[in-house]
Amino acid sequence: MLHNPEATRAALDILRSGKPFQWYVITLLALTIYVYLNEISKKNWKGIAAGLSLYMVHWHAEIVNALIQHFTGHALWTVPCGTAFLLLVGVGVEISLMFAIAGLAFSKVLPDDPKEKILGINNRLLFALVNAAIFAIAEIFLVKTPTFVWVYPWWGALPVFLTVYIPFFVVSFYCYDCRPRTQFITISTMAFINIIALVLFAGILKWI
Amino acid sequence: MPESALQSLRILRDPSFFQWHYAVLLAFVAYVYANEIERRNWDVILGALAFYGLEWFLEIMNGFVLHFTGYSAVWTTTDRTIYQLLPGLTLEISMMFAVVAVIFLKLLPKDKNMKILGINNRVFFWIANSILMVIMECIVHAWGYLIWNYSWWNFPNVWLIILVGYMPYFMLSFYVHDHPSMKVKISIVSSLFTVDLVLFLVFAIGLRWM
Repeated sequence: MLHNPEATRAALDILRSGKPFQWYVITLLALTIYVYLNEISKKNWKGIAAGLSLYMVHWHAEIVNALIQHFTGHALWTVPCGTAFLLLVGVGVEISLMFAIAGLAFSKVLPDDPKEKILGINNRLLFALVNAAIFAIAEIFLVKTPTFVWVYPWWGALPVFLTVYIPFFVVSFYCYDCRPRTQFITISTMAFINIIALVLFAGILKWI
Repeated sequence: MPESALQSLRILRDPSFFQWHYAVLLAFVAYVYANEIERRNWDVILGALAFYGLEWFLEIMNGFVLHFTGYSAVWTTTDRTIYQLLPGLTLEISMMFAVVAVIFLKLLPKDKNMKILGINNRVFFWIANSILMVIMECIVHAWGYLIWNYSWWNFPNVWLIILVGYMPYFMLSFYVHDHPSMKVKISIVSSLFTVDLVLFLVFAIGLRWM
């Protein structure tokens, strides 16, 4: 039994349409740029690497989600309304900007020592699990609003915790501790894959 | 009951108005606090949390006024929100208070005995910050999105809003910020949040009085 399958049609109707545009997008974009410029001025390259790597994994996940919609009829998560600009079927510009900041913000509360243990667990792994759990639980409340839909009955907080949010934060915190060269290669490779996928599937084939 | 009070009850904790820009606002609030945690700026963090905890406490008291008078809360928000938390509190206002406290505390002079215009700087900023916040409220009130249904809490009689509505926030916030004992700071903040949480769960979620 699908839950609110009409949401897919509603999302596709506003996909990359300028009609729902609101001016606050400009302010939010400026504030996001400010956050990164602030960190660049402090030479906080590790934090920036954490932020950008999470952002790239977020785009991977959104592209895969949109491809699932193309091949099966419905995405795992869908945003049918409530956004000023729907980038892909499951992501509005606001969500995307939020994820642009999330990895950077959360990296600031990481302990200095990457090997330090908390409750017998490596702190990086523990923080990744806790943050992933917070985001997955938040989605339980979001699906109660009309702006976020899990169409498939088997999709929910646990699968999103395991397959989406844990990779987000594990990659982000792994990148935070890496050498600068590894950080650069990891982020630029993911960015390259995302750009190719977007150009191919969204721009040329118009699948997503 | 005036229309504004009815309207605030109609949209109270109704998720159907949700908009996604909330996600970014929350991320910015998280960034502000993460920045202060990174700098180990505990005085500012705990001072701001005291401000925020007291804000919630007064909002709950405002909800009690609506319930017990059966007429109106002292201040009411009615429209243009993505989520109405309490009769006088929207999600956007709550986010603003979480950040504004950090801003005001960061602008405080380091020397708590320094004088400005012959007044101790802490007292000066209790008054100045409260007046500034009330000016903002008057503008939003004039636009019709913040409703004052009682003559004694209304424009131009705004002195009570300055004295009761805002000054206690800054007094408590600066007190926590300046207190030398970390134990005292933490106990004030944790007590406030515990009281807020219990009141909210019992009277807002459980009994639905507000």
